[in-house]
Amino acid sequence: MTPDAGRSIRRSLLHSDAAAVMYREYHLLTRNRTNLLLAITPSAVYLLLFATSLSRLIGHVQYGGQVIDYTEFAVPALLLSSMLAASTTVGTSLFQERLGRMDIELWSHPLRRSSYITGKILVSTVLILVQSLAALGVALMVFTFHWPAGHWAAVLCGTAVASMAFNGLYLLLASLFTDFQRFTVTINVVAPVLLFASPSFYPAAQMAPVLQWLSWANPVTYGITCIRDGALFGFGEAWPWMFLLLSIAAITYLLIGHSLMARSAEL
Amino acid sequence: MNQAVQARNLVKRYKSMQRNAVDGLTFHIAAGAVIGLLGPNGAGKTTLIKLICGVTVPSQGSVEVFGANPAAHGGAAKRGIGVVHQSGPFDMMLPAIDNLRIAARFKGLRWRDIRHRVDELLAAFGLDTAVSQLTFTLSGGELKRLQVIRALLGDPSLLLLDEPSAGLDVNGRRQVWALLDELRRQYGTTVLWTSHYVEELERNCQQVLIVNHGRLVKFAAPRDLAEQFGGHAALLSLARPHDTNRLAALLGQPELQVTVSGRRVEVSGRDVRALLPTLLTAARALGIGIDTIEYRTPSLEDAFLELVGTGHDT
Repeated sequence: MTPDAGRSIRRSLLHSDAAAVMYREYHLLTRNRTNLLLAITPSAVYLLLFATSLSRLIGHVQYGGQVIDYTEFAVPALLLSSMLAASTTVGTSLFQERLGRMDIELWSHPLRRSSYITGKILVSTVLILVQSLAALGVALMVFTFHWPAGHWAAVLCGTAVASMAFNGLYLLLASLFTDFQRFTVTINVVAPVLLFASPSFYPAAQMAPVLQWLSWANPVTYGITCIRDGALFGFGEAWPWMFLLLSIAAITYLLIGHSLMARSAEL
Repeated sequence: MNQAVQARNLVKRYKSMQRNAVDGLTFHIAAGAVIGLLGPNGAGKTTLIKLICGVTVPSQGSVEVFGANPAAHGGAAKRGIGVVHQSGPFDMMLPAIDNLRIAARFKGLRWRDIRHRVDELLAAFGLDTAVSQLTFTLSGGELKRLQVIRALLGDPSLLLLDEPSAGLDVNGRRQVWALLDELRRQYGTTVLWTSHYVEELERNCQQVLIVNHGRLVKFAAPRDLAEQFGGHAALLSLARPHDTNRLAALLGQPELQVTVSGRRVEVSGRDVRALLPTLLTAARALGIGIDTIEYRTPSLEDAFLELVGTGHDT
């Protein structure tokens, strides 16, 4: 490839409609400092709790036939907490776009439906992933984990697919609601319920029967189990959960695409 | 002359509406023309703008902008269209300048190539300092001016303006008029413009497209519409109050409307101008003294009300 051709491809990529969508999404998701602060706060509070009281109090738990350090057990819940907060930001951003009638402005530009959906999903997934990894990074500064390299790779893959799935679920929720107040209330109530109705900070066996039943239908359970099994046992145990989360992501993306297309036809 | 916009039997039906928002519109707009789009609330003006800029697709019929379908293939035809939407859409949580940068990206423009022109426009519209603020902090007038600037990025060949003057003060409106006049003269930009200020369209547009219930009512020059449907009127002030009834009797023709108020008689109807010399001669012969005569030129607003009725908010 000649340098000119390379430059031409880079230029066309930079100025494509998908790049424009990603540029906008990046600004929307990163410039709102209030949302970012709200997304980081719960994870920081949990970290503080673990670093001080809870890990000393509980010490060890039994999981998958092994006795493990409580911090190892709880760190996936920390990632999921950060993931849910970031997903809330993403869902709210989609709703605000509709509320401000920006959808009309966007479709006035030369923009393909596929580029819009791809760009939006890609940037929002990356934001959720980065925020979750940031939470992991902070946890690493506080705690020490002795996982082999393969387990670390499984944690990263698990975090990535869980980010995709929760991004899809929250975007779908935002695309289905029509009332902003109901959406805000729902999304803010749903996040803690999902987190605590899952084996996040306690093993499933220790949960109340009703919560055990709820946790079965709770996607957070599968996100946490995927990352936890990846960290403790590697890819061998984590891949079925990864497959399930990828399936959730694929289905929700299809539904989001359908919902956004149906909505744009009525603009 | 080239056609900027060509609509053929254009229909738009929304699921939530019982009737068509746009109902079989056929018209064309010549390149370089400045056209006013008039209609009562709910007449289909905004839907028509959205169809022309490719935001929504027709349920039936077709619309072409410079020979291309704006809604097809990612709407490459949209590159040449600038739109000011009525709803004033912005990413409110971003600085105003970021909204312009993002719009430039969507139009495939490099910011450094257009920065100079953007700075000129910002200075001309008095937004050069406000542009760094978060968009939601701007006033209604500032938002409207920012919207006009955004629509002008990339020097569009077709400019669609849905209520660009709403929320602007007199100065702001005049700035918009001056800018549109400059665009038309320098670049031959075609403009389709809706406004609730009928006199603004009468003053600035070569032709006016009047729609009602999604259908075309008239498409003609404002002066022709005013002449044909505007209704001429003459206000005669009489020297003696008791002469008003005698004068009214002289005017007893079915095509004329006569209103008497004190010493004043108002006569309106299409033939008033032609009738005035005869009327004055007859009045003089009967000894009816007329102090003053005020002749009111027919306006587009009168024509509009005549054509779409007065029962709507215009």
